[in-house]
Amino acid sequence: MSVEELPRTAPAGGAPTSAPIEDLHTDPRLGQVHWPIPAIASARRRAMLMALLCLPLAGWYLSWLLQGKRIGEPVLFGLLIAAEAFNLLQAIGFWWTCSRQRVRPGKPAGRTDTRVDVLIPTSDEPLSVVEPTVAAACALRGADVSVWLLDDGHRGEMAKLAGRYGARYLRRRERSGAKAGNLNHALARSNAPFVAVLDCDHVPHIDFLERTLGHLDEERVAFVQTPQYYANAGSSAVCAAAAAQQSLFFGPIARGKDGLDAMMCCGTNMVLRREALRQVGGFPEDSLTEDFLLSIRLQERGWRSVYLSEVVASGLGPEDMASYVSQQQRWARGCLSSIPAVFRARLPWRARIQYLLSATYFLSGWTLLLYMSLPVIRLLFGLQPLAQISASQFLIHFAPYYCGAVAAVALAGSGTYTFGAFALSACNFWIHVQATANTLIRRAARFVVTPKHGRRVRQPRAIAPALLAVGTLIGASAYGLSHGHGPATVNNVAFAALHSAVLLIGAAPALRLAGSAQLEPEPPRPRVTRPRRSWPRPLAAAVLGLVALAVAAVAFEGSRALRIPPTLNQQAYAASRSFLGSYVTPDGQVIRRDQGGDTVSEGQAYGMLLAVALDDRSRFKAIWGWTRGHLLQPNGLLASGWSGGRVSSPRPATDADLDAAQALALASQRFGDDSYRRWAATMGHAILARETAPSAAGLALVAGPWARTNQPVINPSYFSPRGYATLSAVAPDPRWRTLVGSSRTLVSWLIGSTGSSDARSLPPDWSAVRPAVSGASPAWPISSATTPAGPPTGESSFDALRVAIRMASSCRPADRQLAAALWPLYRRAPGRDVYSLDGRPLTGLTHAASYVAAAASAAAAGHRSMADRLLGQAQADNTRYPTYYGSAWLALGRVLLTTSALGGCAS
Amino acid sequence: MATQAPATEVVLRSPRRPPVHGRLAQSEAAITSRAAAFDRATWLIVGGAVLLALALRLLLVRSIWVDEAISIHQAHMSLVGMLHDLRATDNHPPLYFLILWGTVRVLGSGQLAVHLPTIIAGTLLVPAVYQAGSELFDRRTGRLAAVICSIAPLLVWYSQEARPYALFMLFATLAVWAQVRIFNDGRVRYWVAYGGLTLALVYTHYFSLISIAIQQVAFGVWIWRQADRGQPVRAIIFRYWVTWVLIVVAVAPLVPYIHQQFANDVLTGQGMSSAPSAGAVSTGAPQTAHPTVYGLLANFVWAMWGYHANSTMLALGAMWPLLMLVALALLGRGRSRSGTIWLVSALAIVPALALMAIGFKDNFLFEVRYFSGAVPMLLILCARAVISSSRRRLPVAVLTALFVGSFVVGALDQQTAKNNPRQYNFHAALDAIRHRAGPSDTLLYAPNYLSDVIEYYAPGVHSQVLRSGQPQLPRHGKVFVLASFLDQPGMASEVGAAKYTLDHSRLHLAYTNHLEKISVWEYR
Repeated sequence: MSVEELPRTAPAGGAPTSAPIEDLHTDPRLGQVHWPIPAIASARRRAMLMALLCLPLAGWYLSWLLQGKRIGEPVLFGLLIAAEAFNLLQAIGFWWTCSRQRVRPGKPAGRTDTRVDVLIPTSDEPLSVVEPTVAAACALRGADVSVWLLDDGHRGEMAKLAGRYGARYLRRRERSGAKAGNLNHALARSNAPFVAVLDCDHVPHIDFLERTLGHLDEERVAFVQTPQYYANAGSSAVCAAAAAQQSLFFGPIARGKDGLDAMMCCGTNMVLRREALRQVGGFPEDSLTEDFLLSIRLQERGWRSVYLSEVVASGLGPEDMASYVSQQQRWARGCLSSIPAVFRARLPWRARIQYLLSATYFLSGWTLLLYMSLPVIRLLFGLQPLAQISASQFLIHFAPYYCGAVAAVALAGSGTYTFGAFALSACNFWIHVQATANTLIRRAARFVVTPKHGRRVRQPRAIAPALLAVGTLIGASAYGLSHGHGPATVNNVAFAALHSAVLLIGAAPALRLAGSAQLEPEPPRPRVTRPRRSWPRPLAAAVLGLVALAVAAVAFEGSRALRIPPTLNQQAYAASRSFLGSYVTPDGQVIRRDQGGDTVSEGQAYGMLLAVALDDRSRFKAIWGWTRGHLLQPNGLLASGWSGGRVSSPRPATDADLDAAQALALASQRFGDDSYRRWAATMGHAILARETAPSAAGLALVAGPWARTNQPVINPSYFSPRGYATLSAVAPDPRWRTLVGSSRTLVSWLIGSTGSSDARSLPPDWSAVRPAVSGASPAWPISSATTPAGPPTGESSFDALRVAIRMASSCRPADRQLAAALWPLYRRAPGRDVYSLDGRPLTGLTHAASYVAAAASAAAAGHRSMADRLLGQAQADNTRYPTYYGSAWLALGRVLLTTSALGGCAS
Repeated sequence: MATQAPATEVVLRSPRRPPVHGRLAQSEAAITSRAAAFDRATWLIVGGAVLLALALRLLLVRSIWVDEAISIHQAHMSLVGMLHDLRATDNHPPLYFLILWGTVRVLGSGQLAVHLPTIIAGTLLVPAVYQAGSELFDRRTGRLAAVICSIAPLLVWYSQEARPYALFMLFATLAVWAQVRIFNDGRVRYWVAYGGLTLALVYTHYFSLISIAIQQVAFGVWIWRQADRGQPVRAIIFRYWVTWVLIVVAVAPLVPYIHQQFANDVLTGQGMSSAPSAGAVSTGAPQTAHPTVYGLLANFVWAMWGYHANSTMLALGAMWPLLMLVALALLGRGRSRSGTIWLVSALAIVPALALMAIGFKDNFLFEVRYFSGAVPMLLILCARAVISSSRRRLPVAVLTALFVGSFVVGALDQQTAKNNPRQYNFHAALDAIRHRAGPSDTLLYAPNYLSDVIEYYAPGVHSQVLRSGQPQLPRHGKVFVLASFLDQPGMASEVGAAKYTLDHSRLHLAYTNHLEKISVWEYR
């Protein structure tokens, strides 16, 4: 390496030989410093208290999260746990570090030999940036100072500048080793026992050495690090945010690292012992973050570090997004590359953990990427990591931990860490991802000096990944909202909005004209040809392969969920998804949100049927899991009501039992799970044993075990010819066939038609039936299930409307004829919520489910276009006045009447 | 070591400044002129907000509901009778009821008349919030808070309800203003104002004790800080104790009253069990025996954007992740050492949390109206957050527009949505009955606590409560059935049983009317 050194023209520390520095009054580095240092005892106490508060909260959250029953989509769950574990470890490290803060006073040198070589490396920074630094370095007090301007830019004006202030000028012909090489080059040509390193944009205060040098009186102290303070924080939003990030690191974190004897050197504003440097061979030239690696090597050899938390030099932070990105890319790449070195080094455990915490911080972008992906995956594919949770449960466990963690950062930083700093970091999440990938494949990197002045242009390219993420989040939200407005969808849209807002706030400065108007812009940097990529190593390939596999698995599962099953049509699919999205919680509870927020077994059964229709195995599993866990009774039947966290009505309802058993039987065929078949058989036998009773029409399906009285109470809308047929396959029993016949007979009695002629009346909601044939009327309507059977009366309302749908969806023509016989009555005023039995509407109100009933009878009567129109009206009615019951029967009606998703009829 | 430069503030209202001359006088004249312009803007904005508030409270009328009807019924009693009835059956202190009693005597019991005290209180709340906001923070905050309060749905709602909540909010806000005046000025008049307002608070709502307690903590911290700075505190402590002695003396007559209400178990919930709190089950989320985080969210939404349909509440509740954004946005904020922000935050949040804790004993008490005194503080806090969100005007203007816009939408939905679970249109239902009913007709109603509403809207109609089992049907005339609260346990079956009897009687169903949360059947 050749050397070119120009002679000093004035003694170090002497007065400058030229005119004073221009723009002194505008250079922010020469202004007042704003750097609060809290009372250290209270800061430590506060951090300790926050740690003691946050740790149990973290335990409370994770112990709840790490339960087997929470597993939704296993791959996503695993990734979520990994992300949460990573963040928790970082948080614990932060609390621990902050609780060990130490503040040292400034200490002047106590030794006689106070020779210090002040090294100022520069590459291509403008004169206006370098001049104040050189001038201030030459004026430093408290030591015998030799200032060296190490110019890798080979610029004549730098030589003149050094000459003006009496500094030495040094330049290399070969610029190997970047900044570290430049420093090593100077080290070889200087000889003072101490070396101060200042980036060329960091102007030392006059007492820089007076405050630091004394700490090197201790023989084993290798270096004294001081904060990097961005004096230009007010010049742009990016710089303000970067300064806030610095204030957190050089505030509580650096003070804590010092308290743990694990402070690392940070590349500038530091004084080092030459002997220590000599022992480790100078600055490492094989790393992008030579300071980080140097610290490891020094500590490995038993040297200690000191952190002086006072600002004794004022520098310039990145003013625009491109500069910030460039800086972060270098730090991320350098620190991640150093992780193996941390593991290999023989360091005290506290130091090792501290180095690991600092290096692995640059993996946190992955967790953000995952958190952003989760709502997108949920909205597009319906997959989510967690199952069997309610929002309230999640919040009660997560919110305290989250708030505690945010409060801990706010308190530890004494309010200096801002939302802008967080948002800027979040919007550059992709840097961590990119750095990880580049590190794993060992892609060659180069040292890029962070530009010191912002360019007054918009820089959308610097935030393109963030904008892409925002676009994806918004697109997924629009897609989700177009398919339903249920709370689950809204919740995920809100998550997407949260991420989008943070990303946009972080990215916004790049879309504004930024940069300092006070200082001249830097010239554009020459493009450097990248070296050829090195071939991925096996480890990198394996990791990337695993990631790709995970993504593929999620995509496969997602596409499976996204695909409309071939047995469904678009409208049935949309209606079914809408019901499941609106009324089913992630843990599988179907909530009647418009009916007091309770849950009934009927709703659970509807949810199970629709999940089968959608071919949605995980949803079916969740709904059945909830039903089984909360409503299933030892006798194989379902309690009918759940409210206020407990069973509110243990009395089974036959329709729910029958529908649930039918759904289980269908699920066993659809999903190939034999356990569902066994449960279907169990329930089927229980229905036959406990929910049937002799009647004048033969063995009849009664309303529930409680309805097997002298005059059994029936609800004709519970009769389900499809259900009987399905269950007879999994629980073979001749009584199913009997029920087919008795149901048809009872309905025909109640509507006054066997199907060959128009019905005389609509089916009643409730009815009583004689146990045996006698001269009197065998079946008659009653007012309600709970009132004693009396003379004929009653209404045809929300219960009875299902008769038409169930009969119309039967595979037997005789059943469909019964539904068809009702059409003349429904045709008069379709869609009303309550009818008298002779078909007069009793109110002016309409209901979606009633339109579906009319559609069913129209379809059975062969009026397909009318049926379609009525289904459209049902859809419109339910859109205007969405109800649980209307949504359920709109979906079931469409599925049963227009598709074969719940089992077709053999031709 | 570098130090933090203290924030400076220009004080324009120093009463004893020396006269100034020359250029300084000119600059002062400019400042005074700006201050005058400031005042004109303030007058315009706050005056407009007051007019808007009054108009909204007068124009957006809704039916009297059960609790109000009970209050009006009590106001028709003799003064002694009303106080006796309140002691025996109610759970509130008497101040509001005394005002209502006087109003009914002077203006009668028309709907506007009985609402007048709360309409006035709700309108006065706007300038009160301006004063408090200006005193706590600055004029811009005060002005925005005033505008928000003029349209804040919850404030509009309770300004139209013949119950004590509007007064509760007004006195609570003024008490905070008086306290901050004491901090900033300390003259005796503000101690008197604080004492009087605290007394009014105690006589208006028992849960005001929570905010009063928070204010005492603030007094303690303030006195401690004064002493810590070496300033004289003896006079302050003397005034503080004198004020409290007077308050205690004035509250003393209330003690036997409170004692009897407690003895009757009124305050512990029994008194409420006869009439369910409107919409207390309307969070849209599954009901539980204890307060939940969703309940907390629902109360927050109610406090900010008013009452809405269950589906809307569910959707709003599902947006909780946006609160994470609020938590993040607070990073780097609130570094003020003045303590003001802590006082306002505590007054806005602690009452809700306290009632949430109380809710574990009696869940129904965890509802926004019981801590409605904290709502103006919450709105001032929001106004402050908006005003200080950025140094640039445009973001503040955009955020202000969004914020105010959301309140307008909230108010519109609250007042007009038919499926708002708090809307009980007794007025329309009973008007229809009154017009259709003759002297020999009978109105059967359930539940029993509808009697006062019926007495208010259909005083001439012969009515009787539906009893469990078979109703006794009149021999002649039509029968009307009025039913509400059908989502209460057993209510639907009770009404259903009565309908069954009527269906099988000499009568037939001739008319059905389903209004908001109320059903009417006419049998003839």
